[in-house]
Amino acid sequence: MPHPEPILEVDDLVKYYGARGSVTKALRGISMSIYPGEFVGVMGPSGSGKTTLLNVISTIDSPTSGRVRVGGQELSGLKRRELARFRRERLGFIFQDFNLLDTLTLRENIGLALSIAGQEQQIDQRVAEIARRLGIEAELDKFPYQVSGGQKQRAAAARAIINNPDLILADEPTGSLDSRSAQMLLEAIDDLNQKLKATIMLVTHDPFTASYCRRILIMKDGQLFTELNRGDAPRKQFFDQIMAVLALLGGEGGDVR
Amino acid sequence: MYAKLIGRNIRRSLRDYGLYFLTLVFAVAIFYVFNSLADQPGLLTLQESTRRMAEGAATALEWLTLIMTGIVALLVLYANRVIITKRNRELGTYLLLGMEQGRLSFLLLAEIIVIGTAAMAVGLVAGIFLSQFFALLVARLFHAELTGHPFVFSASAIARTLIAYGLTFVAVGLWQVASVYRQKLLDLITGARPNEELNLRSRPVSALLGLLSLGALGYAYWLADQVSRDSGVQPTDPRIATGAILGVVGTYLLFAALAGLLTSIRRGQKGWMGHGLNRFLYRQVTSKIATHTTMLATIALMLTFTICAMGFGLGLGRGLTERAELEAPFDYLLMSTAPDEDFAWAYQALAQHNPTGLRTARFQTGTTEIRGGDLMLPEDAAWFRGEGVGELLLDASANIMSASAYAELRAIRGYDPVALPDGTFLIHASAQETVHARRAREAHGRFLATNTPLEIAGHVLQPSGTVLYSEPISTWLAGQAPVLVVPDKVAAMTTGTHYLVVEMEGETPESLDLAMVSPVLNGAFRHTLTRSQVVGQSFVIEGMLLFITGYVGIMFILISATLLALQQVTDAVEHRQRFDTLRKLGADDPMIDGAIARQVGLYFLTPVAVALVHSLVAMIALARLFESGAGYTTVWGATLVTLALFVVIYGAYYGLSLATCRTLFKEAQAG
Repeated sequence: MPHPEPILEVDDLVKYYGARGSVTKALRGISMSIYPGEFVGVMGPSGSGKTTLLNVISTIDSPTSGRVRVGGQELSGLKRRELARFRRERLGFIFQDFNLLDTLTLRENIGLALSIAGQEQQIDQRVAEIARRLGIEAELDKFPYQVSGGQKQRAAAARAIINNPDLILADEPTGSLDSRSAQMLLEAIDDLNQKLKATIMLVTHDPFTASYCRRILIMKDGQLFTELNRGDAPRKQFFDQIMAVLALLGGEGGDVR
Repeated sequence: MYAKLIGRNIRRSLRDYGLYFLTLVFAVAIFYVFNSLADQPGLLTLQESTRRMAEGAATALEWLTLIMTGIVALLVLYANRVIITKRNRELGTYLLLGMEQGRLSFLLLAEIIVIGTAAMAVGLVAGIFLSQFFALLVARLFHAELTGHPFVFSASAIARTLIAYGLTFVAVGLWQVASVYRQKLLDLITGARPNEELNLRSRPVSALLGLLSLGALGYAYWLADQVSRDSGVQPTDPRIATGAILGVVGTYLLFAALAGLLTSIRRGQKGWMGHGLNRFLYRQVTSKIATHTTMLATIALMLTFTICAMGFGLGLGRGLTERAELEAPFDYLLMSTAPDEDFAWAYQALAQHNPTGLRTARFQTGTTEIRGGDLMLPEDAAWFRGEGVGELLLDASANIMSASAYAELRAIRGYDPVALPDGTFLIHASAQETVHARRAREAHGRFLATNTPLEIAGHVLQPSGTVLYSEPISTWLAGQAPVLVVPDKVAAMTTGTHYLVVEMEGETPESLDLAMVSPVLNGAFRHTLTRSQVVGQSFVIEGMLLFITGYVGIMFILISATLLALQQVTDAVEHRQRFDTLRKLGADDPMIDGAIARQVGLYFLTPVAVALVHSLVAMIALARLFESGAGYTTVWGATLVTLALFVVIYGAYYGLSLATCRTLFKEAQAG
């Protein structure tokens, strides 16, 4: 498959935690790339470094060594202001616990990203458009505590995509949802990927959630263990394939639900 | 959008931390009220000398308000730190959405400044309103006449309030911004939430701490009891400092021990524990105690200090005022050791003013070799031996006063006339209510009953009867040693100090007070005791003690209650989950309401219970000291007033934080 420039390039990334004596090696030289329009899942047992990888890519955390480039932009060396600008223009986030602001309505939550970017004039139209696509139009003027978990997470997804980011980072987005809501959310994300060509990197340990991705990177002990490609296979078949690999991973890897 | 964000955040803060806001308002209002003291009309009607004293005291009070503002600033800092920690995730989200640090800082600063400005505005309005009542209080305290109902307004107090609290809020805001700047985004987004740190100290260690604390507190209580039984205790007595330190250490140890013991107790399901939500309640409260050990101990000590200081201050002030009447029973009492004193200046001043109902008595007291101890039986005198105040009483020599002068004095004060037959004497002792004065009166009484004659100026005199007189005639005349009243011809054979007693109808005019002041004389001692000054000064001292202890006391109660309320409210999310679980397990609304009320109540009561025990011991000791040392019996009344005030403020804060907790704990799960 011929690719243009990768949207995300991770090169020999290393992240150690802790002081001398008790160093935790969360990432031990991992390299990977994601291309525009891809929907990539990152899997691995707990402690494999997948959340650390996500945190470093999302600029929440800084690497010990190695490089991360997003859209050709080298992350290390960015100043505070540039980082803020980078986040609001290039990245979108979805968290396990939604992370909506409880003082704002869903509409305001979704629009906040645009407000911060100073694109106030587009808010109404853009919010309405995304909300329709994600099926939460009726909920827009409610507060987070008035809607269900699934609706909250779709609002979070809407907030993540509204500024047309280069890359959407999702950390266990289905972790707090029941299976029905999880399925609806994943279909919505899949739709964003297919129709709007959003590039998505999703971290999960749930094979069902992972089976919606097009490509899966499996991590172990801070390194890339293997990579799975869905190709044209139906989702169900991909799911079985994932389960087989996880079984191979053995040990702690077997704890996936 | 930013304005909307700020607005929404402030509204939420006010809902969740309304009590904290209320405390800020009170702090500002009280600050204004006390700073407006110098401009109170009640003070303007005071006499010159008293007013100068009151103004000096008002300046001292301003310093106190500054110190209290510093303490309130610490509270603001603490409260904001707690609130911000709870908002870490929210702040992290702003940053993740690409908000710049500068913008975020602006957002936080704006929130604090808006809340601070609102608190100052509401507080100032409340303060101006309150100072109208304060004016009445001031007038009453200083016995000043208020003509009409002047509207009290102090521009300088407003300026001071704005500066003090404006600076406080700006400083806290900047500190807040700086601390958020230092935080890593990772810590904001993930963890960095203060966990309920259960200190699971082992039971033997907790038990040991408990024993240590009981030992320390017991010893401190014992010291308090011992000190209070001693007469003539000095404030520098090392036992007082030792007791205070042991009390403080013991209290911290007590809470540390409680934290360990309460959480490690595993009682069965039977009895009280097994009933309803009691076990849950027990865990809720004990886990709180375990987490906030230090703060609870500090609050208990603050409350102890408040109750004792207020009881002490109010009691001392009232006692002083009562004693002033006793010390200065005459409008003027002039004394002079000049051999040929004629009090010419005083007569001249009196002639100029020509007051109505003027009565004067001029006389000379004589000295004798007879001492206080000579007017007691040896077994009574033994009681006074061996310590300062007692020895002084035994050694002071008695004054001789003529029967006619004594009769005049009694007539001026309106005491019953007393006849002194020829060849007899009588004893007039101090009217003071200290233990020593009372014991001395009893001893003199027993001496009179033995009908022992005395030899005075070459005459042998018999007691006129067994009655001992002790109406107030000032401590100058009947102080350490009693006065021996003898027939005029005997008195004439002794020499000593000249006295002039002046009494008139109504209050003495201020100009006369000034004119009656004794001119300095080389080689002799002259002095004038002016009742209006003594009484006025004691009013000022009483007023100041009332203000200082009232101010510190009320602020401490407010701060303590605010800290307790803050802790309940900030953990609302955790509590909400627990109460949600209870509901799912089938607990109905009344059950949950009751549990919340008892949880908040127990939490509020724990430090109070400790403070009350401490205060009780301290107040018993203080009351005993006061009564034996100065004859004041005003401490208990003052303590009751303090307790009433305490119950009202504390109760109100309990009620309000209960209402807040009910809404917060029961609110549907928020995202």
